Amino acid sequence: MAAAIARGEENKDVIDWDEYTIVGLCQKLEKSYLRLTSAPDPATVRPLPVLRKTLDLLGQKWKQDQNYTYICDQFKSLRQDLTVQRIKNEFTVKVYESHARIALEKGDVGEYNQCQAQLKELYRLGLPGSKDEFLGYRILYMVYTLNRTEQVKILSDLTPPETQSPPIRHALGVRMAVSTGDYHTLFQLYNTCPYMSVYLMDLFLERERVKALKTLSRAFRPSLRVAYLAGELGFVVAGEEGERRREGVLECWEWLKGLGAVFVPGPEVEVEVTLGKGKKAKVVKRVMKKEVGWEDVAVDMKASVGVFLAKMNEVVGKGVDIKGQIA
Amino acid sequence: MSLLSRLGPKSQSQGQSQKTFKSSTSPLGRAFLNSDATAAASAVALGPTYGILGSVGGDVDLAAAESESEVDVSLADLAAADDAIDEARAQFNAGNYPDAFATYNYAAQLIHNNAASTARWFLAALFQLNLNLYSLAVKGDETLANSHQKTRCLEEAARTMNKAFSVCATDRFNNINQSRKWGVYYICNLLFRTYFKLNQINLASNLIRSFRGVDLPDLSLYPIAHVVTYRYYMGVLAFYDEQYRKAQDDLSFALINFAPLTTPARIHNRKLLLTHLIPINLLSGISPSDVVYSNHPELSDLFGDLVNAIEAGKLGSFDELLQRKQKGLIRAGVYLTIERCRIICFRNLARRVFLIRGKPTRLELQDILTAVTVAGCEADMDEIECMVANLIDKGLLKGYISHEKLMLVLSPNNAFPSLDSVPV
Repeated sequence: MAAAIARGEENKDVIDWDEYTIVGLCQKLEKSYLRLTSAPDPATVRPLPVLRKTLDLLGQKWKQDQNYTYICDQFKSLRQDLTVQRIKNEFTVKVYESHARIALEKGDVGEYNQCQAQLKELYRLGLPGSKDEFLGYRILYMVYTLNRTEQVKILSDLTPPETQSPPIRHALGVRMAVSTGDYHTLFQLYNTCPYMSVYLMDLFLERERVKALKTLSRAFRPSLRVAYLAGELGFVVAGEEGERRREGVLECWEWLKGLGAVFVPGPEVEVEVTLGKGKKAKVVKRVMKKEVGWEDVAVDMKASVGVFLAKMNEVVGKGVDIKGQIA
Repeated sequence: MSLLSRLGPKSQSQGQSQKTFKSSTSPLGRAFLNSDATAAASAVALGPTYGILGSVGGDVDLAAAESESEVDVSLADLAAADDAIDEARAQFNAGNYPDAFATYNYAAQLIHNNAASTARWFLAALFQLNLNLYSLAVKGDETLANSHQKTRCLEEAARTMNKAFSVCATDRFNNINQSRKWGVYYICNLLFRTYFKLNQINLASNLIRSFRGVDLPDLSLYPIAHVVTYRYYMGVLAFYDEQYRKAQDDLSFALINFAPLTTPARIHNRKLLLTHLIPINLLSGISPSDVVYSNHPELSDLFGDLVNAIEAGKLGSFDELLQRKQKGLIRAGVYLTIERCRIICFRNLARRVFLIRGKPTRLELQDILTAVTVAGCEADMDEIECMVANLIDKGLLKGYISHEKLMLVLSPNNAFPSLDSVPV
């Protein structure tokens, strides 16, 4: 290292100087990921200028093809080339942030966690990046895993300017809503998610919906319209009208049916039914239950309490699967 | 069998005659050979020793019978330990804490490795040894941190203390009156203290697990100081685990049996205890008495206004105070629990509305919305319904909501059950 400084060289991109640090020679932009079992051959490692072009290319390809298997593979090899060349700079941050966002979009929590762990380190080194956005994600992830100790740790490290930053404010609001059972605020926040946080909230959406449903079924009598529930549980965005609202309510209805909710039967009406044909035709009066439309269908709260309680025990009892999380 | 007659081959091969053994061995060596509690305790002391001998247990004959164990003691080890302790004392007096710790730690390890031959008489010294180790580690880490180095002492100390724990827990030979098992809770408490300081509370559960399978005397037979401290830590652990009822049991026991507040250390410890107990009691509707505040003014600063807001149902004040005091509450480790008290605050507000309306069986939700607004909190009807639903779900309110009529229908008996009757 002393020799290098004496030569007047100062490569700002490499924090940890080592005579043996590889500088890659490969000029090919794309490379499939292969786990290293020995020291890498510089001929297969791409130097930083090439890697920058690779990232641009991957961005385009992701927009065009949306092929996650390909993209994830390419990103992993991109990360590997950065690691073996000990490159830790703004570009490294960009790479991990990009991969993390893509992983989140595809629900790949394991990959997201790996990137998040690296980003935490990189930010700690003082490298610039979208720190607030990713701190927001970390908070939401702790809400998902119900990790109280981590939540408190993050809260205690927050600086006043951070608490004012929109993605962090949003995540903190979600945390508090879940902690205090405030489903109303929670689902409003779900519909105003910044950046990719909606994908993180999706991880615990079902769990919180079932919890809310259980609370609602214990408190409300005799019944609640599905349209109201759709609003409270975030299937419908507040103020939405028309077709979007109808779709939201229908989605909620399907979901409730799937849980085994008991619905209030429609009113009974007398209907005239014609049996037989021609001369033998007879008109008979039958009593039938009128089918209820999507705007009026309601859940029988008392009858459904047991169902929702059982579902909640199932969902909460399952625990949380921590995928690929490193500290 | 006397210890003297079972000396290991090493010392015998040094060719010293038996007659000169007792006088030429080191302080620790002599203490071990004579099963001398006082001598052992002063051999490990860093400075003046006080109070420790009393904590072993009043009715035990400290100059107890010799150990029944067949295990050998290395006098050479003990002599080395004595030398190390001398060196540690010198380093300590010179203010070189990291080195003092390292040296003392080495001595402690030597002593622990040779402790299997001891009995209950040894506990006073064992306690003093590990307590000194803890204090040196804390001071050592302080010094390291101030010079921007990695703080390694306390972690090291924890490893050494764990050996002390096994020394106590695995005493196979002595009969119960002479057993080292009487030291288990003291060492356990010291380890808890270390883990909390290291912020590695997960290690505490490992320690608790290692209790299982050890045949110990009942906790109630141990010195009350050990029991109170143990139940304090168990209470705090239950608290972090959100097992509030258990936490309340443990912490309340510790409070009731707490020693008189005659030393600054005791005042400090009781303040720590109360810091955790107050939020839990708030969830059961129990507020701290004035005596608590007069004994511990810092608790009045931390909790006083929050308690008032919760009791009076002042939701707006509560929210504002919670926000303002967040850092302080987090530092005290109780923020999330106080957050949970919001529903209690709302319950008290709703109950006031109930009383104002003359304890009816039907309450308009609009009344509650008005009350919440008067209390300084912005809300709309949907939020009110959500909060009331939570009250019912948690058993804090007996009744149901009619969404169509925006009305709360209350049970004619006991619509607002008393807070201590509701499971937390």
